[in-house]
Amino acid sequence: MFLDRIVGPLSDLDGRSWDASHILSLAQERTEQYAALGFKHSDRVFLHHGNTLEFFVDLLAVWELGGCAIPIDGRLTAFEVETLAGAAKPRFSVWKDEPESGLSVSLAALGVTVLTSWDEKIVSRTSQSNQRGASLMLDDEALILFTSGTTGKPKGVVHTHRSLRARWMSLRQSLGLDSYRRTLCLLPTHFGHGLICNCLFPWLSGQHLFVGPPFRPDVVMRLGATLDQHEITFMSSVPPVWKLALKTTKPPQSRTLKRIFCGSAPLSAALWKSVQEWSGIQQVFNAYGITETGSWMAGTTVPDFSPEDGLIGEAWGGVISVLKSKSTDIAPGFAESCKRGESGYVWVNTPALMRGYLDRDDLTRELVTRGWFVTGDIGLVDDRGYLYLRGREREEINKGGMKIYPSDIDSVVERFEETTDVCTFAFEEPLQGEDVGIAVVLRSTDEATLRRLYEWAAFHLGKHQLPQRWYIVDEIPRTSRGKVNRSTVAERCASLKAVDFRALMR
Amino acid sequence: MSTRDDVIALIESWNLTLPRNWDRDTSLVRSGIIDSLALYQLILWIEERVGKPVDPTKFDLADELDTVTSIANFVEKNRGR
Repeated sequence: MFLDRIVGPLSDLDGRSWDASHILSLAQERTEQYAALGFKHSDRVFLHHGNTLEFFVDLLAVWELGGCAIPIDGRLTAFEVETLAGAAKPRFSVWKDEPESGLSVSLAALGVTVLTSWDEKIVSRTSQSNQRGASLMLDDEALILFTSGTTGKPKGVVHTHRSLRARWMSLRQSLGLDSYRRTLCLLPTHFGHGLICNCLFPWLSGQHLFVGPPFRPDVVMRLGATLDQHEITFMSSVPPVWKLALKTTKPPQSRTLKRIFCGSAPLSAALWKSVQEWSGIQQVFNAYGITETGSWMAGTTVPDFSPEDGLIGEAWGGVISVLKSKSTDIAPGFAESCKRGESGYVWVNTPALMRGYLDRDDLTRELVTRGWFVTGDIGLVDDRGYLYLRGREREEINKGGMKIYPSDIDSVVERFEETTDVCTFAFEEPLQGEDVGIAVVLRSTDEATLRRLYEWAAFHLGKHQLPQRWYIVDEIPRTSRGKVNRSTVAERCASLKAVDFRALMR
Repeated sequence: MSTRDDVIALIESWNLTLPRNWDRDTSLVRSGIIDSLALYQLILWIEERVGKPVDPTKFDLADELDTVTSIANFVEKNRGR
């Protein structure tokens, strides 16, 4: 799985640092440990200890044995982890610390072996075994990243070793490696932007990777000093982190930075320019990527650009077309293209495209045809051939780069016994761009019911998914066809008073 | 109400998981109690209180804004300067 026969060093922000030979030695040890526990080719492994050095060693070990790694968001509730386990049927579930006992029991009932990472029991059992799994094949599944459906029907993006390598190779050819010599990742490692691109692209090419905890304000407040201390040459992040950093942290002084990426959410021209000024470098690129395409597939590697709202730039290792249709019934090769400067649906053709959604051929067919993927974004290509994004059609709430799907929240709240109708929507928020609002119709609206509703939601939803504005309404407006228009509901709720759950729950 | 009381009221208005016995000297930022959104809102609130943007190049904000007491002191010190 290495692009250069050897991985780069790994360091965290607490002072731990492992060189390549130590990492490979640990990975070998872990490989033997897993083999001793009966790991078989194609086994799937939940990795709950993202953003740690151990996570990356486990990733190598799983791949060495021909298995598939499934990084899990540490903020998910036990209910959501169980839902994902039911869908992915992992053989192992690896944690940094013991999971709560109820979850361990339910995972065990699903046939999942729960391991605490770097468990002494495992270490002592291994040295007796030199078993190795079958070597990996390029079209084996390597990585499953769940992007939604954690409360109902999970949507897992399946990448193979072939699609991942295609992404890393195309990035290497388009971007080179020089700027990535000392790369910092402060993004979560359970989604494509953080894991596939910010971490694995440089690290598996032998570059030094520094990992820190994601989205921690105290870390953001020390960003300038951290960049200096570790002589960082590259980092990627999301707009909210930059908004916070610009207000709270001193710029770096040592001028080691060569390049910065910003992605996962729209980057305004004003913020873009501010990051250039703060960092002292011109190479602040707006990167465009989707987990399904192995993340970064286009960006501002164009000559003498000036920040502009929506400017992405050129494609990396693939073709981007803007078409008038989003239907997969028509072969994109025969579909009508938009003229230069005309907005339409953004389609991508790349060898880094996922194999498909885990056990969801219906979903895959909706978005993939003849090797092309319809992104759900609205954009245009200008006379120079540069892509601009103008909006999106996907139904998602982009909370600072983390995508939250309204239907995931609807499906939890509608199961509350007093709920008769529900609609989750996005509302604008100054730091993260969007946050979660919800309108609920209840049979009873007394305080005790409201408290139980909130407790129900807090139990089943991760903290990042929990609606920040709740509106109790008499009805959810629907179209003549009975469909809910989430934007219309959001507009109506904007003039209503939200329930003050903080006061209610005190 | 004192500035300290205002800071406490502000923090209590956010959707944070506060320790049961938190007080004016509890670490809020370094301990991870305050999330990114809350910190951003705090900076905006301070800017409104002191009447000008906070210049991060002049302060070590990780120290200056870690507790209710330090936040209140920061506001008092920079108000009207």
